[in-house]
Amino acid sequence: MTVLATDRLTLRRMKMDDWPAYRDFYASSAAAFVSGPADEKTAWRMFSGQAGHWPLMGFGWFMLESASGPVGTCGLHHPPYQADLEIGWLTFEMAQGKGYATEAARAVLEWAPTVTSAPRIVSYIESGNGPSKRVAEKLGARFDGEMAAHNPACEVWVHAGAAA
Amino acid sequence: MKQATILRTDRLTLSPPAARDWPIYEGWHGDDRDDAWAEFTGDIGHWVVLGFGWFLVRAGEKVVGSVGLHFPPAHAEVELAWNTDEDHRGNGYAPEAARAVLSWGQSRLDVPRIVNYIDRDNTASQAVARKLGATNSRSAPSHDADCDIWVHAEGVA
Repeated sequence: MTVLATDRLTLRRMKMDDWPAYRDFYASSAAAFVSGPADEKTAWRMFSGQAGHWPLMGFGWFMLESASGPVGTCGLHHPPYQADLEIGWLTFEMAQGKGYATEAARAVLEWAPTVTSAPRIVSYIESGNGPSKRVAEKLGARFDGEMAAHNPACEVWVHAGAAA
Repeated sequence: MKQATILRTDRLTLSPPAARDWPIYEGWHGDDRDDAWAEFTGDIGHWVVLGFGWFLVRAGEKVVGSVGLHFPPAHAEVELAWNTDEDHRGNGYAPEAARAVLSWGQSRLDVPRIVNYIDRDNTASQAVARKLGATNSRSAPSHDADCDIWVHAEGVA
């Protein structure tokens, strides 16, 4: 089972114990840029769906665990009907502003070529989501005006070196 | 990875959803592939995080419906639930498959009881529940006022 480690985080598969933190994040206004706030039923669809992505595709979302517990999620996501492989991240409310998303996403981008040969990796980021755009910039991703086909409110940020 | 749980009855084979079943979910959801993908990955994820979940029911090679043990966090108890695809109704597949899943659940799950949440208008499902030996508690679950909780006594499947 894939586990990635960074200076401050362990990236591991999600388990049922992670559910309360995930649900509480999606119930909060902090989830506004990531299809939230969401009720328990919708949050469970996303949580169980992220867990189910792994056995299907061989990759998926990780829980980010710091010394004090889960601080967010980050991973690769690729429904078969979408052209691009996506890398996404979110940081739970109390853990924002500490650089966790950037740290985790860097590890995931480094690991990506071992599990996929997708020609490019993108991030779909809502135009108003400044913090996530700054993460994408730090990761070296570029936005050249392309908007997501499935969601016109989202910018397509393309990560360099995805096909490496 | 752990071997998938396969259940067999006289006419049916039940297996957890796997990669080959994506077209089945697409078919169930018509044009809404986001919904199909959410349900497909969600059903598989239910197995990943809880160790039980939905089975696809096959007669020969053909999928005729699904039966599962369903336990999203918003529900108070583990629910045995079933769906038979429209073209395959009237063959008694739902009770046959559900009996196998109930019996598997009762032997594997550490829960005080297994229930069905059945809409008061859904007489077809009520008939299946009766065939399985469930009794109507005539009380509604907290997540759905239109349903009654049907209770399966341990060991009657």
